[in-house]
Amino acid sequence: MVRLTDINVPPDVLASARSGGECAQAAVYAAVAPATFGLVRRLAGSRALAEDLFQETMMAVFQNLASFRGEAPLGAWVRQIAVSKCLMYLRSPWHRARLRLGSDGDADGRWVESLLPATPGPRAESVDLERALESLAPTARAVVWLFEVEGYSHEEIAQSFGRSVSFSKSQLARAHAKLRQWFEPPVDSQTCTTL
Amino acid sequence: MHNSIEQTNGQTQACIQRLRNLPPETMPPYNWQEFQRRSLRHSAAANDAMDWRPIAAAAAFLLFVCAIAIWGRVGGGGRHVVADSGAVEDGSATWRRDEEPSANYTDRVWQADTKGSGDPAGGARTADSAPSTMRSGETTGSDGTPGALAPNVDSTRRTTGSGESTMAANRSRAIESWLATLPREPAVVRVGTRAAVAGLEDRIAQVDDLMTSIRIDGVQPDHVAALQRERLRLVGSLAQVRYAEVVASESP
Repeated sequence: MVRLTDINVPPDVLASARSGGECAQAAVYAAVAPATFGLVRRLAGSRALAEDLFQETMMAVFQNLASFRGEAPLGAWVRQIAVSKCLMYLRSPWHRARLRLGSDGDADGRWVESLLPATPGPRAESVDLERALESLAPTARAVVWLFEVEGYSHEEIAQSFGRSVSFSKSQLARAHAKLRQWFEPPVDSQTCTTL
Repeated sequence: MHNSIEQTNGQTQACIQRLRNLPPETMPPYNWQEFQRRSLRHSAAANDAMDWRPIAAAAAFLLFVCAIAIWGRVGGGGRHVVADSGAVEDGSATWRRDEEPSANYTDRVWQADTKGSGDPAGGARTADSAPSTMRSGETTGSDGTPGALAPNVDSTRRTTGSGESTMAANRSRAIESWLATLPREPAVVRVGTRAAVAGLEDRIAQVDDLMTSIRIDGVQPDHVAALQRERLRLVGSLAQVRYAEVVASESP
């Protein structure tokens, strides 16, 4: 299991893929596709949407492969394309309108939480981390994944979203708070009565 | 890796660590062959969408050409008349006004003109309603300004004799030469202004015909002088209307 940024392909394979060699392109696809789909799956949330974004990402990769200069690992270049595609979708008016339909004011996707059970149930070790991640709003999930896992800085995230650094920090803090709620052990609430 | 903003909570660190430990790779939804097939289908759909662009461009161009042709046909490539509330009853200059008086300067000039040449009130109204620059002068137009060229009706009415007739003819020619220096009429004109100009031009032509007939029949100095005065008055009114039109077209 390697991260996308660590993936690189031999120069001869890359050169052949640039010139249109189908076998070389298949090798490149086999090298980068799993990690690319993993990243897109984390950022997109739903699998159907992730498949669409993955298709667009890989098409863009092979269409622009000739312009890849090789100054960075191929995986880093592919990751940049995948993140751009996902954030373009998150920033699209259609996606925002869909979010607005489900939540008024707080654009962090209460509609996602409304699909989840009111009480998350047993949250200790049996909790599914994937599900916790999916419970986050799309924007907050993308921010927390890019910052904590992919190593993006707040400035880079803000630039990618076209927002301010404060936006990135607030989204991250909110996502942390929600994730903590998932992993905190359930506390029995006792009512205090004054005698 | 950089440090998180919130490191105070151990639970947060645990969450972050679990996120980082998630498997970075996920089995892709399809293999290379399926990806190629989908890419080809996507490209074909994109090409189909692009085939409509030349057709849309051609349709837009055709519409544009049709619009130009219709505009040229209807507009005649020349003057457009913007309708307003007025109406012209006949070509000899009876201007039917609505009930309330209009503040339009050209309409007031036209009302004054249609009162008839013998009506001193009409002449006075013409002089009163004209701009100050046009009321100021009664001398012949030596400086080329409309005020200097505008006729003073009262002084014109006081003049008699063939000498005065010649003087009126000279002043008419001076005003006409000044009129020739005015810019052409704007492409879009008001109905009231256009009707006033056309009516005045028709009446000037009638007076010219009448003077020609009188001269052919035999010289009658009194009649010629009266017609010269009438012609001077009409040309002066025409100059006022055209001047007002030029000023109105130049104002924003």
